[in-house]
Amino acid sequence: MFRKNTTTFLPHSVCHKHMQIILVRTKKTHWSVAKKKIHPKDKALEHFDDFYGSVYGKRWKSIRLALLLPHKYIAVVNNFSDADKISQELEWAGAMNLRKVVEAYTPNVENKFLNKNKIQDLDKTLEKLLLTGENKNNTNKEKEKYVEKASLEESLLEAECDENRLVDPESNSNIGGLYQFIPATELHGKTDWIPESQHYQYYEENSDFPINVLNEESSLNIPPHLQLYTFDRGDFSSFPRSKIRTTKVSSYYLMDGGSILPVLALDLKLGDRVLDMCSAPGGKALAALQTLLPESLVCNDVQESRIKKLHNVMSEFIIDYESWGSRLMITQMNARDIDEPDVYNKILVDVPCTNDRHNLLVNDNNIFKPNRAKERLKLPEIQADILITALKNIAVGGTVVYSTCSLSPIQNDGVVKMALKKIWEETNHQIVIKDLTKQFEPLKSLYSLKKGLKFGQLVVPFLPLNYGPLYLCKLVRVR
Amino acid sequence: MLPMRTFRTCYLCHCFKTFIFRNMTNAVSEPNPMSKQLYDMAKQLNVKNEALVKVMNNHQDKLKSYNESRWFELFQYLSQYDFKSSDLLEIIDSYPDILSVNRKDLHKCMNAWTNFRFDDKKLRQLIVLQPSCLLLDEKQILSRIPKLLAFVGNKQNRLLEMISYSPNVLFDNWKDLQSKLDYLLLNMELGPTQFVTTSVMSSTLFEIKCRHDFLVKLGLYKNRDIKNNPNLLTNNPALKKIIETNDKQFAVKVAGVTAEEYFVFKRLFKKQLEKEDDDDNFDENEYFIDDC
Repeated sequence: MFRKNTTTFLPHSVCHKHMQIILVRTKKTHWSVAKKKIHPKDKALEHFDDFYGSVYGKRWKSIRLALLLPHKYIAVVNNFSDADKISQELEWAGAMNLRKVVEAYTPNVENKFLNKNKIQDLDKTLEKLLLTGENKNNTNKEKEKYVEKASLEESLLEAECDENRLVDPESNSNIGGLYQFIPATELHGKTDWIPESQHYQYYEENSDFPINVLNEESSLNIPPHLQLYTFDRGDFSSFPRSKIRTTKVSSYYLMDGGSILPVLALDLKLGDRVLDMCSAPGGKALAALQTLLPESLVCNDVQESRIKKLHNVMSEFIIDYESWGSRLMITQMNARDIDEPDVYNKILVDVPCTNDRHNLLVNDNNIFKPNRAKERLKLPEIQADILITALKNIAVGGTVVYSTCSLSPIQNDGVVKMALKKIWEETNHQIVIKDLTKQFEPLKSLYSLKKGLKFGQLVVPFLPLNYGPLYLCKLVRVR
Repeated sequence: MLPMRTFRTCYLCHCFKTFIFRNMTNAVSEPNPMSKQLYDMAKQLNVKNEALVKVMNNHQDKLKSYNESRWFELFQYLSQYDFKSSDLLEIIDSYPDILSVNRKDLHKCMNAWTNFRFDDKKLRQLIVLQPSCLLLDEKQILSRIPKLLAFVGNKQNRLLEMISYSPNVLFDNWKDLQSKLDYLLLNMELGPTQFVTTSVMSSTLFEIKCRHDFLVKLGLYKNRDIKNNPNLLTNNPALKKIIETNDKQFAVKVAGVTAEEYFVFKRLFKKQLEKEDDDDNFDENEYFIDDC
């Protein structure tokens, strides 16, 4: 540092015509002070080391490496520009089409499925042969026992209350004790302090309400007009510069490879009414538009600045988007206050989260700043509230896709569970989780997906396939 | 049948033995005329016969071009410094071209070495281990060693150790060496005792940086906490393990990840460094244009 400063004093700089900034060493910029300072991103890393180290074990260091290095992009070709030419150019640059990767995988899978189905049929016939009349009756009875009601109210009607444990407020025997002053006998400082990773251990594993998880049977379908390009495993070449072409909009949108998955999971069909609840900066909404399928798309966000970002992206990629009227609307609302039941049949809930990758790189506005600790700890609650709103608003038969870009199991499966519990308690809606493990199998060569999650899918960063982190869970309202 | 078989095996054995015998006579007969001369030489140089033959056989082509007198000169001169004749033979075995150095140069070089008052025994060990030390220019030694001593805490034994592991510290570009030493001391926070016993100085700065950064990003290599006791041991992997392994071993055994990840990281790191260099160059160019 010192050397750099001295060069500015050298004689040749004297003849400089314009001003030069000379760094003056102050107390704050002194190296020893700078070295001691702990930045929010260091705090984030420390927190992740503690928390994810306990969740992911040995795998964490590999994830850590990938998170600290630049991620890989996927290019979404803009259909409002010269799409064919752009696709060709991207192919020449060495990128591969995601659709081709999926298509190359599917025929093999079908064969496997056929074999599996045969075996399952054989099993069923065997069972039928083995079950005599009496056994059948027994199994029927057992099955009846396990049927649980869709909502809390219905199950309360039939429930038997254990009245022994009710405390009668009017019997005065114990109330006096409550008003007595009892002085503190011990003072606790950091001895009772629990690190956050342990704090989250209290998040319960077992559930006391029914959760239906069904396998998604249909195969992965990439909408015909959605052109996605990315580079192969371990290939970190950069995309050519996005140009503005004849229609005066940019040729393709670059986003993290994981972010396209929620859009694919929505399984968009012609005439869908789509709501993106926390839309900014608008990558996923734009990708949904590029399918050319939805009848209407509403993008919502809370902050003015984020809405501006959204407008910027839309104006960069869509010709005259303001004239689209009700087909593309941008609204500014708190996502938790949206109350338009049965209007939308596809809702994308990409909630605000700890945004792991971003917060390890940038110090500005970092959620791990000490003064934002409360906000951070409240995140799961907010996320659950937003998801609940989405589940309340979705039309029957519609799909909600919940996604975060965090590795934290609390913000992912935990929030889904919390939301489902509330929905079960408060409404009569019946929600089914679709397990996408099978559907995402064709993408195995492109994404490193975590196994063993209860509800959703998690793209885990892995250096040769440096996408994500991205969690998504598909929920369908049945009733 | 049986006698026939025994006959056959006997005959085969006989043929085999004669064949071997013939070959052996061939092998022994060649150095035979040399051996008398060698025998005398061994006696004069006070070395073991077999050892001399072995050295001669190892470097036949190179040693042919040197006269016997060169051998005597070298042995005579270096034995002044208490080198054992077996050590000297070892020197010639590992670096036969040492015979081409004339006495004057050798004298200057040894003078320079002794000038620094290293421990005699250790200096001798070093020269036997790394005979290339005798090829250096006097000025090179006199200018380089004080510079190096400053980096190893002015401990002469440490310096000798470092040279024995990586003799290139004596003749490499000083700027490169300095940047490597700076990186080890400041960025990796290693003490001289830790790096003098490894061949770290013979690997490139890129390699050191790359492996260090890889471990830091994995969370396996941590710098000391300033508030902690400076004598506290760290859990960082040993420098020897980091440097003296090939890429695959390093990735799997030291870092505990797949080799693929390290290869990808290496490519990315190279790209990143090139980009930084480009940016620097670009700035300089801009600066230059402004000047005009």
